[in-house]
Amino acid sequence: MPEPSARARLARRYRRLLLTYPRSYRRRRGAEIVTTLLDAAPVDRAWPTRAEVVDLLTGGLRFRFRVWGAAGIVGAICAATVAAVALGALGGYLGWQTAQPLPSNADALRMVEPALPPGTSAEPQRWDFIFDNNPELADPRWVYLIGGTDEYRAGKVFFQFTYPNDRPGRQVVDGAQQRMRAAGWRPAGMDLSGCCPGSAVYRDGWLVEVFSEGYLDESHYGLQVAVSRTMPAAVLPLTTAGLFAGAVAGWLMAAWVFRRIQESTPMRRAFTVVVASVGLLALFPATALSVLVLVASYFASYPPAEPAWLGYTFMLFRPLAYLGAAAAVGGLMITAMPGPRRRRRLAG
Amino acid sequence: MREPTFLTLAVLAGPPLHGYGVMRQVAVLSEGRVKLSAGTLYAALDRLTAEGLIAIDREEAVDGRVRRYYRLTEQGGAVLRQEAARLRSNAEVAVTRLAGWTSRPGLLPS
Repeated sequence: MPEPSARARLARRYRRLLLTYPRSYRRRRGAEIVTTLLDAAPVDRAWPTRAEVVDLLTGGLRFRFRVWGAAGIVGAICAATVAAVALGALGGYLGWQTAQPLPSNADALRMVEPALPPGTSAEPQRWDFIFDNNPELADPRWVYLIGGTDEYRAGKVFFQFTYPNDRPGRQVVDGAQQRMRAAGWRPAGMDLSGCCPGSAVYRDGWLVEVFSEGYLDESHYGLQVAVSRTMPAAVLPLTTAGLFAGAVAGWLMAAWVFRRIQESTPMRRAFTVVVASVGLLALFPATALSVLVLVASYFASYPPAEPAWLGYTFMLFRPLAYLGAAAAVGGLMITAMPGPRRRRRLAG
Repeated sequence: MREPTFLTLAVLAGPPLHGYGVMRQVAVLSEGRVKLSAGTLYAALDRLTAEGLIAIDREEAVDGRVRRYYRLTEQGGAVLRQEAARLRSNAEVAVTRLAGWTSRPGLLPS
């Protein structure tokens, strides 16, 4: 028969394995579970069996993820989705920070030369940011920062021309694309139809768009040839990592809130549910728009240039996302506040 | 209702039992077929307590270790009775059907 200290060591090893369970649960159940494990263990056992190790580790993890009832499961799915898209968008944002600087004016001119109208020369304009609000808009910056924008644009080096309208714009654009393709560029297949004809080609991390800007007067229309970046290689891996991390974190947070509100007063439980629901609803429009962009990022056959965080920059969706984030943080803070039972225990 | 949950309720339809007692009795009742691990047992005890099917009967400290005893509640007894009736009914249906069944398709029993 081992020394009593051997039993104590086994108990300590069981307690260590219980660290995968949340602290509050360990406080409530830990000693009892260790007693049960010791009761079940033969007297000469010094170490937990492999089955016990697996059981306690997975049991603790399962406990952290556990929600029950339709409301709990729906809440956890919503929280996991919203957090997954938010962190996926953050991953995409970080991935885009690895984008190469835009080409110099001379390099940009060399790139787009086949697309330019023959015999023309033009000074390019530059938007050297990666993505930002359209700098040509006159609104003060705080309007965009608070209210969002529907003019969120990729950085680019671009050339603008006026062009006599003796030829249809479509013909000019198609001619430019044909010449670019002959120079080794691949068609991007982007839908630039909108109001006016347009086309895009890509190569070596650069995207060249040629599109008509519409009629400037009775005899001329504008034409723009722009060089921008295609999606850097780091974007999709970081987006994917963000999606997974967000889904796990969102589910864990929801499960934590769910566990905590079981022990709350009905008033506080209702208040937490209302605040969390407002948060999720307010985040929904931005999340939905970013989901569309994310889907395009993964499944488009050409290199998409839309950022995954577009939803959080969009007009009206942005202030709603601020409200949603504040409500979510508020809900978590309310949940973290000790309830009457815990206050009594702390006081005791 | 899953078998470990059913058996946990079944063993508590008797004197109150502590965690290890439940584990042991479940193994005995199932003739060794169902062996509850501590993780599974306490997940079931938490859920059944939250649903009001079992309750803590008392706590004891033995050799400085906490033992908590569980008992079946009235609601738990009703749920167990209902589930047992359902299983019995299903079993009777199966037994009746098997009595008239032959392994050779197309042949009716004489």
